[in-house]
Amino acid sequence: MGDQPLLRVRGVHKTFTPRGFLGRRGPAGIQALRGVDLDVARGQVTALLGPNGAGKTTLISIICDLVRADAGSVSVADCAIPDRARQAQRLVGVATTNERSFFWRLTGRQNLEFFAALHGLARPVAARRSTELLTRFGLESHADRLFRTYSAGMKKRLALARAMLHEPPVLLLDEPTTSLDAAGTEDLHDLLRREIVPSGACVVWATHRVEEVRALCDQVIVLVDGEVRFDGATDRFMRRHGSRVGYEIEVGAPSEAVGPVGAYLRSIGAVLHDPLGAGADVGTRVGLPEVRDEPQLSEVLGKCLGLGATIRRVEPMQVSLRQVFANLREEGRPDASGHGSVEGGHA
Amino acid sequence: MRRLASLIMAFVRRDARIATSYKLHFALQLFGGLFTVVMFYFIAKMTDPNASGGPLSQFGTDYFSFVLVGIVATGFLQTGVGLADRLRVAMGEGSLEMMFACPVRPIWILILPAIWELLFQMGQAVVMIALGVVLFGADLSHANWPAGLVLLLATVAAYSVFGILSTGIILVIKRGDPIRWLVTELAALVAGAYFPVALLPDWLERIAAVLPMTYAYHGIRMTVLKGAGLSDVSVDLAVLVGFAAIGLPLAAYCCHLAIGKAKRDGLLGSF
Repeated sequence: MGDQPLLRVRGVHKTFTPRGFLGRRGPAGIQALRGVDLDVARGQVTALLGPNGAGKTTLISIICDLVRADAGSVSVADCAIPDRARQAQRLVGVATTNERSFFWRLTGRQNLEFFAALHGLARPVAARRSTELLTRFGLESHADRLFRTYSAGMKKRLALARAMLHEPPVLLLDEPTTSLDAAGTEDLHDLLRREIVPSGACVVWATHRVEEVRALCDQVIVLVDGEVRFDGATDRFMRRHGSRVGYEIEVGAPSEAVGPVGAYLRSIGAVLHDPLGAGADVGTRVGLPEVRDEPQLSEVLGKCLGLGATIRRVEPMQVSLRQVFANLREEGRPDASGHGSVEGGHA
Repeated sequence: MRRLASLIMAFVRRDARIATSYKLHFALQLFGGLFTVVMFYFIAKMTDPNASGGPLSQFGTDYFSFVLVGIVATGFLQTGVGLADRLRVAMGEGSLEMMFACPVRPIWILILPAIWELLFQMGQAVVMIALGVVLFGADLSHANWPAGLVLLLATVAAYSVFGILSTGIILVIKRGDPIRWLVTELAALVAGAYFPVALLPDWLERIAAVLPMTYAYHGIRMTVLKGAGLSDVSVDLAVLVGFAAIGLPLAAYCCHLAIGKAKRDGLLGSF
């Protein structure tokens, strides 16, 4: 990273300790973060990956001063949190998955104007900025509709617009594409590419989707069990963990071809996600984990076509994130000297 | 100040829009106090309006006028103490954390929703007093309204101490607010909301003497029923202002500690 990091996290620990009756200490606490370090420079999009419960939302909450760390330091443009939390909050925009964070009986515009006031924008500026963002995020024709009537995609877009109200140099996006369909997700990616990346903001994008990492992010940080297990450039992450492990095809077969096609696919170690359907219009997803390159793939496809099958879709398969996390969890276990390892170029 | 004024306006606009979007609920709230007024009108009929030298004599009025002012003042008590209700709503709705992520002093986020409630309460008070006077003959002809308003503001400030403390408690324990329960019960039982303190046995009167609510009811009644000026109710006013001056910073500090604890426990937005 060439730039001085705009967002800097050093050695952050957080344990949530359940309290019993009258505040008595309850059972052993949950270690949500264990010595997390993170640097994000201006204009950089960083993917924050991790399984559920890895500590992503806790980390974002600490950066927003909604949760206090037990140890370590967090600063945004040299404003330490929590000591100078309000100065830091002026520099941070956050979009969460929680659509209840809006007021459902206000319109989209009224919601934006309210939060603009909380960010210190004078009323005329708030109104102008809200209109501008509603337009940029494709919500201008829905601006005066109640938030409760918005679709899931519109709610997500409004959440992004709210995060950008005060033109923050740091954007924290906590799984903004969760519960969106493919078209909604693609819309949101377009918005990020078109509206957010060019703004020069540094973006932390908590996600579960490896395709988002590949398409949008410069840097990847993987949290597993509250620890950073990978910290490095996206291409390095993809080389290491995003490598192809075969192909997935969608096959249709007329009834007379079902038997031979099925037998052939099974003979090459294919994984049929559903029984092979009878009829060319019925597609069945078939995993081809043993097919490593395109010549091999051509041979398989040619054989299937020769047996009377129709091929409706071909896609390279990626290793699943679950597998990546499992690998990183395994690799990060402390060695004989008691030290775990952090993969990547930064940690 | 400008920033605070802008925040107040933003909260009032938001709350007014949300409140008026529930039209039936809004109307019921605005006119709901009418039932209480009617009920006490009939209870008042059982009392002797010509009785003199009784506990009401210091206010120079009949029971219905006395209790009407008590009901209205209790509404403001509920507004001040009820800050925690609005916090609970924000926690339940899920909007609290997002507001706390904005660069605003957390205490403002907790207190400012009360401004709309206060304005609404004033509207409700006007409706109840107007109905009490026009329909049921309450005698407020001697009222010193400016002095009454000053007492009312001091009362709201004093009651807010309890409201802010309640808010802090709710942030930490989420449900079950002992302060609100205690204050509203004490107000009803010993502070003179519905009957004069002079009717109480000595030991309860001594408890009443240390409650700011007692001075609020007394001061407001003296100005609204008897036309007393501020100098006549200086003791009531001094107690309320003094309580607010000492209590508000202390309550705000306790709330600050509660916010810190909620953040450390990671339970700011949970309910």
